[in-house]
Order: sequence, then structure tokens, then C-alpha cells
Amino acid sequence: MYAIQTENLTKEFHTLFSKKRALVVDDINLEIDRGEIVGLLGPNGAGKSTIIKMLCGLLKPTTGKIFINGRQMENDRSRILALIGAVLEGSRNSIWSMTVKQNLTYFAHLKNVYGRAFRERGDELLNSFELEDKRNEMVKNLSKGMKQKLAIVLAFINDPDVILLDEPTLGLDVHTARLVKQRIVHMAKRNNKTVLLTTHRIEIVEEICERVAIINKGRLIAFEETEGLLSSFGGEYYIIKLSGRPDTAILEGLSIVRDVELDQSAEGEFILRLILDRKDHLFKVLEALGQGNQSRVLAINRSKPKLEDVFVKMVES
Amino acid sequence: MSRWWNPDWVINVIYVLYAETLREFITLRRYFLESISGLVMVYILFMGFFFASQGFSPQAISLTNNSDDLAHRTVGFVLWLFALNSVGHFSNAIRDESHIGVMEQIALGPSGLIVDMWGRAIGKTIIDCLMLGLVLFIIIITTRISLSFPFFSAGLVFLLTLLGLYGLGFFFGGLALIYKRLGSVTVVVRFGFLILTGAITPIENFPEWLQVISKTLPMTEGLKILRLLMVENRPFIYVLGSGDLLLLIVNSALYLSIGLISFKYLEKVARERGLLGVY
Repeated sequence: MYAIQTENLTKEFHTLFSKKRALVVDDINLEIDRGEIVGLLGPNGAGKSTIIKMLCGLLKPTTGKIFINGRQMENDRSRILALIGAVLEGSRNSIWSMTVKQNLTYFAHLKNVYGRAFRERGDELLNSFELEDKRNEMVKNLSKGMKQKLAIVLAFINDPDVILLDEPTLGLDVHTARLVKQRIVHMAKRNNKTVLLTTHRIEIVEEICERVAIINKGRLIAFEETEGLLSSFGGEYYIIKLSGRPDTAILEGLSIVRDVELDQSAEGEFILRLILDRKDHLFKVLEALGQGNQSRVLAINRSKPKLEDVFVKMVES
Repeated sequence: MSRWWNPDWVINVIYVLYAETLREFITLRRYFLESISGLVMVYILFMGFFFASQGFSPQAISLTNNSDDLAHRTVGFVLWLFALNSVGHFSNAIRDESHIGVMEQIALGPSGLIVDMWGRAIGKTIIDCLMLGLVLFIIIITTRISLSFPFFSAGLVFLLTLLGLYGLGFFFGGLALIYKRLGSVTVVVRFGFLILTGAITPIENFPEWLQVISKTLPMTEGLKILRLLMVENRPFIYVLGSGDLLLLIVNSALYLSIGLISFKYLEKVARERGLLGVY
């Protein structure tokens, strides 16, 4: 039994008086195990938020099925909602005219958490997200980062099995984003929770997600383990620092070289990024660079492919 | 229906009702000055309605006191104030919460939006009873009208009337899930109630066709019975015998059923169109 499972999930929107339809999510099949942290990546308008909203029952799919812990959304929505915690993008997620404590009480009771369980869980979460001294503060007086941390606290208050986070680190400073990231991993790993998160900060996905789903124009174009996805874009990644501008046309003419990119650093050095199929092809590249006689190799570094590179290439292709 | 037999579900519902009632009180406390000034406005409105044409002299007030007319109108006016709040409360709350962006989180509650709305209705009714009770008390003191308060019978009729009014509130709440801003529609309906339900003018003075329409509205029958009990001091047994209570029960049950069914349907439409919580 999967924690999250979708079968041919599709969503079309149409306006009231027009037959014009917009296909936003197209035939998505996801199978996510309990305890997994999965990143949902895609460019703006790819359909990520629509998927999150369908998974938390706020939006009804046009066709397809959603199962949370084996229960089907359409038949068992209220039970499923008790298993879900969600932070939604573009939503306030808390009531700004109430204090942190009042928000906690209100949303906990709405999510059927009360009595000792509520007090213990509330205290634990406020401490964990460094909000314990803000209990009596009005939410509107909190910083953006604190409001976002409160949103996550409220999403976690019912100890949900499935946590859906739509841009949880949007607009956060480095420290707060790191804290949020750590807490998400901590909650997921310690309590075997399933997390599906969308973000534009791909380094977060690369760091904490075991698997990545890439969505483009509503379609799932990749759903693999993060490591696997990176290695499938295999090859040897090199960064070569040069004293002068190399003749990239010569390099692009070599069949052994892929994805040549050239930048210039602030110090005036040229940074050449390229991918080779094999390590020993590097000698041929150096030979080719020497032909132009215009530049001297200053340094060569090998690097791993970044998820960002993989994401951009997949979406572009 | 089966979940009504599940004690856990019932306890969860009670806590949701508690949460929403608590929130109504927090909002009242936060905007207390606004609420008090609202009450003053209501009192001024009442005095304006009933005494402006006669001047505000003590003689004018005492002249009016000599008849039951003012007592009739007072009961009508206060019940209309309850109607004013109950018919538009859900749609206003949904509009405001969609606007500030918390509606989606509220809709994620496992007990569902209807239970949530009932919580608001309970909280709002308790607050209205306290606030409008205060207005009624001040009206009674300043105009020296005489009203009886048979707790059980008047309370029962009042609650039955409110159920019908909240039925209409659910209908508008459902529409607000889709169309968000219903301000002018609910205002027309609510002020229409002031005239059409006999709150200020007896419906017997209306043309016959208008009387038929008037009698189908959710406040009319309740108001008629409350006047019998509170102004004319008729015993409850008289109301039971007249068949008026049965009419009220049927009327309220119809409004409530239609309200709940339409809310459920419109919530489904909002979920299909992605409008739940979107302003």
C-alpha cells in the first residue's frame, strides 16, 4: 500500500460559458511509499500546485483516482483529510488577526486534535520551529519567515501521515529555510511520514528528496530516484578555467563533447563547462583547446551534474 | 448517516463547533469597539424607524406606548436583526476568508465545511443573543413597552425560526463559495425581510398575492408566533392548537434542507472548478 498513489490523474479547467478547455494535469501516475520525501519540480504553470490541491481534496480531478494510505479520495475524503497536513502556496495558511496560540487552538480543533495530545504536540512543534516565545504574538506582527514556520506547525499539528508542502521555503532567508528543511527531514524520518514538496529551490530537493518527479505542461516527464536521475544524465562534468577565450566552435565540432557553456569570471578568466562521455576524452579536448593557441589552461575541475542542470535539460527537451 | 453513530466523529464535531464558537468570541473581543458602535447604530435605527415621524418627545413615546403596536414592532425589529446576521453570516465569512486566504486551510478540516458553518452559526447566535438582548433591554427600558419572555416556548420558536434563516444562510454561503461577492444580493434579501415578513407592517395589509409570498419566507411564521407569545401573552397550547407551530416546523425544515443540499452541491461545484478558497 502506497502512502500516495495517483492513477491517470487528469485535471481540465473550463469557464462557465465557454467550451474552451485547459488541460492542466495530464494523466499523472505517482506511487510514493510511506516515509519517502519526494520533490515535485516543474516550471511555473506546470501543474504542481494543481496536483497538490487535488491530493489534499481541495480540487476534484476531471478523471483519475487518488489514494492516500490506500483510501480513495472520492469515497473517503473526510478520513483522508485527517491524515493530511498541507501548506499551500499563495494562501495565508493562518489567521493573522489572531495570536499564534489562538491559531494553534483553532486549527488543532478543526483537525480533531484536542486535550493532552493538542497541548503536547503544540508545545513540541512550537519549540521545534523556534516559535515558543511568540505564542501570544499576533500573527500579523510576525516576520514572513515566522509566519511560514507557523504555517508548517499548523500543517503538522494533527501529526499527519502525509505532508504536502507547496513552496514551503518561498521568500525565506537562508537560516529559516535551513531550519524548515531540517525540521521537514526530522519529522519525516523520525516519524516515518511521507512528504511531497514543490519548490523552485532545486538544491533543497537535491539535498532532502529521495525521489524527484518532474512535471512539464501537466505531464510527468520523469519520476526517479534523485541519484538515479543525476546519473542518468551521466557523463563526466568538467569545469576548465582558461586564461583567454577558447574557440568553442572547435569543441562543438568534436562528437565526444556535450553541452559546452562558456562564461567569463569577474577576474577576466574564461570558465568552460562541458560534459564528456568518458574520462580519457579530456585529452582530446585539451588538444583541441591548444590548437587555437589563444588560451592557457589554468585549472581543471571535475564536478557532478546538478539537479538544476538535469531539470532544465529535461524541461527544455 | 453512519458516522453519526461513531462517538469519535461526534466528539470531533463538538470540538469543531467549540473552535468556531471560540473564534467568533475572539473576533468579537478583537473588534469590540466596532461591535458596540454597531449596537448603538441599531438602537438609533430603531428609534429612527419608529419615532422619527412623531418626533422624539416623551409625549410621543408615551402615546405610542399606549398600544401594543410598538411591542409588535419591537419583536419584529429584533427578530429581523437576527435574520440580518444569520442570512448573510456564512457568505460574508466565506468571502472574507477567501479574500484573506485562509479558506483553503479551513476546508481541509476533516469534519467538513457544513459542520464548520454550524460552529459559526452557534457562536454567532450566542453572541447575537447577548448583544441584541442588550439592545432589546435598552429598548424596553427607554420605551417602557411590556413584553413577556416565556423561556421554553419562545426559545423553541426562536430556534426553529433561526434554523430556517440559517437554511437560507447556507444557500447564500454555497453561492459565495463560487461567486465570492454576494453583498448586494444578500442585502436586498435581508432588507426585503424587513418589509415582507411583517416586521414593521402587518402582512394583513399586503395584497393577497404578496401575503402568499410573505408567508413562505422563513421569518414570517416565527415572528407571528413570537408576537402571540410575547406581546399578546397567548399560552403555548394556543399556538399548538392553531397549527402555526406545525407550519413553522415545515417551513424551517424546508429552508434548512434546501440550504444544506444546495451548499453541499455548490461546494462540490467549487471543488470541481478549483474555486474553493480562491478569491
